[in-house]
Amino acid sequence: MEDKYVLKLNNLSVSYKVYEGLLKVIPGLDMTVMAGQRVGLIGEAGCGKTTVLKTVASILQCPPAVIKYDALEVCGKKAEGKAGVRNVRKTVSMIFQDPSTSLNPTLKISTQMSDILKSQFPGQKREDYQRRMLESLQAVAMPAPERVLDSYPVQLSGGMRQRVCIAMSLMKDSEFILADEPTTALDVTIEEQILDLLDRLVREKNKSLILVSHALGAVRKITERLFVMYAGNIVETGPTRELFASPRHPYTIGLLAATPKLTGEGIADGIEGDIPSYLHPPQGCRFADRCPRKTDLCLEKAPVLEPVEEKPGWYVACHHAEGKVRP
Amino acid sequence: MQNTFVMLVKRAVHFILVLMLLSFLIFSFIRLIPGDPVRLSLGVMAPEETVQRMRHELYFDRPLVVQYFHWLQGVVTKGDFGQSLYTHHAVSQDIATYLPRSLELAFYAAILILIFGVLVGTVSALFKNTWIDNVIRFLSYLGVVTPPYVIALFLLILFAYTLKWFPIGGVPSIPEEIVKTGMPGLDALLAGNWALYGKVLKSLVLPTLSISLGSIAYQARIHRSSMIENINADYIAFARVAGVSSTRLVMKHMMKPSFIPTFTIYGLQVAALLGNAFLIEVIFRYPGFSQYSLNVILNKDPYSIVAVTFVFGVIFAVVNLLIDLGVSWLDPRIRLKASE
Repeated sequence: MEDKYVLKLNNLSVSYKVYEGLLKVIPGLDMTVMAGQRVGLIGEAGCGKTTVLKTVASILQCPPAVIKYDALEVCGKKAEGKAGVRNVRKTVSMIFQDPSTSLNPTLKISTQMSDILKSQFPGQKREDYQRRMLESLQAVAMPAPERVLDSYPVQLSGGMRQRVCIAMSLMKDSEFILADEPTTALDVTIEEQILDLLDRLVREKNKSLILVSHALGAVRKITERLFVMYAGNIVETGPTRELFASPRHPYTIGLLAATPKLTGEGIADGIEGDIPSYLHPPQGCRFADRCPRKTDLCLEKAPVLEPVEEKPGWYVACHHAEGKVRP
Repeated sequence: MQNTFVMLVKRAVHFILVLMLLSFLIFSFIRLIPGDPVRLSLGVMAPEETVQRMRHELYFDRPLVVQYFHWLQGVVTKGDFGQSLYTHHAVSQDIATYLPRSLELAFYAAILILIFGVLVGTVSALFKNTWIDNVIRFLSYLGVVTPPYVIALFLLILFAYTLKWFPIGGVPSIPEEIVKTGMPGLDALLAGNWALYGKVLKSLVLPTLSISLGSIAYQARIHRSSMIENINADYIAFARVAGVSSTRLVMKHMMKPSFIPTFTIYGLQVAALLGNAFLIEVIFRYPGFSQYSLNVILNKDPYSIVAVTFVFGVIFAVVNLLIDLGVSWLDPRIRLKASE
């Protein structure tokens, strides 16, 4: 089981056609997720996390997006040609950022849920569909599921809507779940409930997960492996706990330091500056502009992911990272 | 359900007040227009006493308010809208003759607009930016900018004059004994006379097409843009990846929210059909309500003008009510807000 991949993504590049030209958001990205693995994807807003997830789920609008990759394989299905892309879409589930826009405002919850069941498991009796819908709502700890089924999205709170979304995305038999900031649009009090719920469901059913979140504490708790993204590149990846304990890439160090701590003194420092323009991205390292360790080498040559010494599975893309194996 | 009922009652009260105000305004305007409608009706040669007698009978020698309430009393108690000075019939009788014909024409046009407007708009949206979409967009642009009477003349020359598929104009006369509703086609149907119904339909094809093509084009454009808005919506992407099949996604998840703007525009278009049909009715020599309304206005026929305005007012109010009911059915956000 352990050496089975659910996601294999080689040399992905995504650009967006806009009026001013081509936004080269993701220049070339590799990512693998093993079966049953829970993976975290972090990075500041606008660095391409959602783009990666939407590419994997094959729901990116093209145009404006222009997607290229050497290989995209999800749960053993290759995304080649239109049929391939459709097959890939069938194998993944995705939870969106904002539950207030990811449910159809004009249809009852029961209609939206039963349409998934009718499409996925056609030809069953109405009572069976009804029973399954109630079960899946109970599985996400939804109070009064009958009433929720009979409601429209506007009648539910944000937390309830996200529970419905999670329930809906677990309805089809997919082994692989993409959660795109599932709690960003919710109250902090609800955030933990939802993440706990997601964690429990994924563990119970032994599914694979990519969790994109700004709640770093939750990412640390839930995931085993971490990808850190900056401006369309994965700058560091490794086992979650160790990476949190001793980050190597200057961006990761800054990102983790920016988290306010209960024990700390006041508000933590951020990283000065902004993500570079995707219209004319820098030739060298995309982080160089904001990096405390910047040298001339960084401006000329973009670093690639290289293994960190004596740490299997830990890679960092920086010319000046500590403990890196020199080629 | 109770909320809908309360809304209906509120609307009805509102609506009666609007109609009263509307009719009063029309009354005042007619009095303000120079020229004496009675003299106009009787002719220059009529003796002064006859004119005076008729003015007295028609309450034209009384103050405006008295005349208005006399008329209103007749409307409310007897359904009597007064006498037409142009056709010399009771106005209500004229309306009963002319209105059903136009209603039938509008009915067929409304069906065409709904079916083809939505169909064409949907196809165009699903094939966005392909040659199919481009052809449809070009044609619908053409349809929107071409006035209906130009379309009518074109259709006449092509299908009636050259190809002789359809009659040039007019509508088959309906035998007196089977007239029930005044709608030529429906009367033929009710009498079970299929041959006559076929003839009526044949004579209605070109006028119906003439008044509906432009509206179909407009409707298609509206529906296309609201479909596209929904294709890009988060909830469509979510439903797609959650596993809803494409057919369900398009026919239900995209269609229902897209219908909200479509339906609003549709209602207004249908209401406007009756008023805008004037040139079409003239070109096809179809003795309908638009033609009648224009004639009474040109002849300054006071009671008919008020009645005609009244009828248009009722039609627009009813259509608006139906739009609101339809939209609140389509959009639970509106319905739930109204019930709070």
